[in-house]
Amino acid sequence: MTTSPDPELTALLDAVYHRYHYDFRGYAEASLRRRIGAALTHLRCPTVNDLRERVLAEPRGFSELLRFLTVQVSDLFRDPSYYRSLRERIVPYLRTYPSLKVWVAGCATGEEAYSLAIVFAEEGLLDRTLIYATDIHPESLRAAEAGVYDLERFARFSDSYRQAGGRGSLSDFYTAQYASAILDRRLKQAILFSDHSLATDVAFAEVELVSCRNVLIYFDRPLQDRAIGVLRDSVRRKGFLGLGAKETLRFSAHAEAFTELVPEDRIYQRR
Amino acid sequence: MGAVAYAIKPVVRDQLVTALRRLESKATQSLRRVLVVEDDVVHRESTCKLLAADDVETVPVGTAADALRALRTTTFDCMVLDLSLPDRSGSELLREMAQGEQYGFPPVIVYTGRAISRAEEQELGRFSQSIIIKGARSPERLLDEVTLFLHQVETNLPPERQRMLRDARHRDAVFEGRRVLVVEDDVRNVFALTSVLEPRGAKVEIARNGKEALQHLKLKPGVDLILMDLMMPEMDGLTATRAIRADPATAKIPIIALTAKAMADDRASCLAAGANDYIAKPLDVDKLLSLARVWMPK
Repeated sequence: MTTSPDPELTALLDAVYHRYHYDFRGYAEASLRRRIGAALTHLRCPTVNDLRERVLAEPRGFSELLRFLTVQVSDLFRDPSYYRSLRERIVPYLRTYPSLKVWVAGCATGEEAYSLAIVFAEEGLLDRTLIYATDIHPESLRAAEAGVYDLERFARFSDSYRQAGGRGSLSDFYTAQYASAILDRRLKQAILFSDHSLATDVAFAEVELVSCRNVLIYFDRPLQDRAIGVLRDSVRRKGFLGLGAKETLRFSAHAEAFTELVPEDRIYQRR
Repeated sequence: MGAVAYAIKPVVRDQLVTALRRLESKATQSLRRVLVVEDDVVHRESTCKLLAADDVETVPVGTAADALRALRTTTFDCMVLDLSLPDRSGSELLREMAQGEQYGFPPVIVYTGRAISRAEEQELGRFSQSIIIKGARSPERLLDEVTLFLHQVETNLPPERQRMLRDARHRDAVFEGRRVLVVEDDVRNVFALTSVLEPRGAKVEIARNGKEALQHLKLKPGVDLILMDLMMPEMDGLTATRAIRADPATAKIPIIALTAKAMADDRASCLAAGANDYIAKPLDVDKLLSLARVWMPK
């Protein structure tokens, strides 16, 4: 935490934790302030204390606040070179496993999980793969499970898909209807969407690959260490961990447990 | 004058100590032995070559019979097993090794050229911690896995499995002949649970999700205890638990939930769904055994 945590903010986060068991107390304060500032405007609360009272009084208010605290925007094949590296460097190794498990930790509205499913489908591995996609936000999970995105985003998605080394056309994996597009059922069938918190829960399965991108940046140092500990416990030895472009294990308490495999794309291998 | 002597002495002493230590470790460090069971001569030789190192001795054999003979007379730190052998299948060989008390049971790495079905993987998973499908990057992974096992020996952590399989005294009246249904899709946990329960005389049956569990209970009634993971594909543990409780034929079977969730209300939801108890992951073997003792019907 920073040197002088805002008492109103602390009281709000404590209240949320005790009442709803969502733990944001280890989130980086600057981004929390920004998000809560936005929530204040949207929910028409003059002060953080008003927001706290509102959230304690009505679960609906909490659910709206949660949206501000957790929603992250993502894209299909965001940071294409990450997916290209997975395809070229990691997939050949993954092929040696008779069955595979992948965990997308902090899946938000599902774009990353579907991108991985598409790579695995094109590489002929999807039939033997189970992808766990977890998030703490129930609304995001519902959206992820639906797999429906605005059609206007698909031009950008298609570009990224090609840059990521896509073998065919992204349209092989979705059906457009009116202003939206729905992703293929065979992708969904390989993904298990579930609720899981890196702040409070522990490892639930041993997996060959964990992809946890742009989640750690919202955590303060102790929570980052906790979360990376959970990721480490989940990756089998010689398995892989992928982080977001601005994230690193370098200063983590668990840095020793991994080697940097593709440093430019933040892909690590468990020792 | 004296100063010079003092400057040199500690250095010399340090060098001596280092040299002595090196000698000592060389003498106490035993040779690691790897049994390579592979019927194809070319593959066998290339595997041995791959694994060869100063402190590793590879013992190549081409048949299951030769493998069993070697396991009777020699202690191995690791075994690399191809599944297609001329005299019996790889899984038959593994079963035989598990039954015979006279065989050592080193950590086994299955190294196979063909694809493996989920059912086969499950069956092999009872005896083997890693299965490698041959391909472009498989030599690298084989080397990784063998190194891991040999390193485990080095740090004096004999694999739990080896100890359990050898130790017949673990048989326990509470578990003898009891049927435990493990509903879990994580191979690591299935392996751990099997290693702990089977040597104690229990028969472990496996379902990979809630749906398979319900089917299993219908087809093979008479299960004594259910260990239920919560997060599974197809049908999750809470739903399956509710369904088991709703059916009069299965309503009384004790269920212990395996959960990765830490919050009090997560645990409460296990109990509300009808579980008798829960245990947190990662599984603590002793705790699991005492829970199983508590809930196993007398």
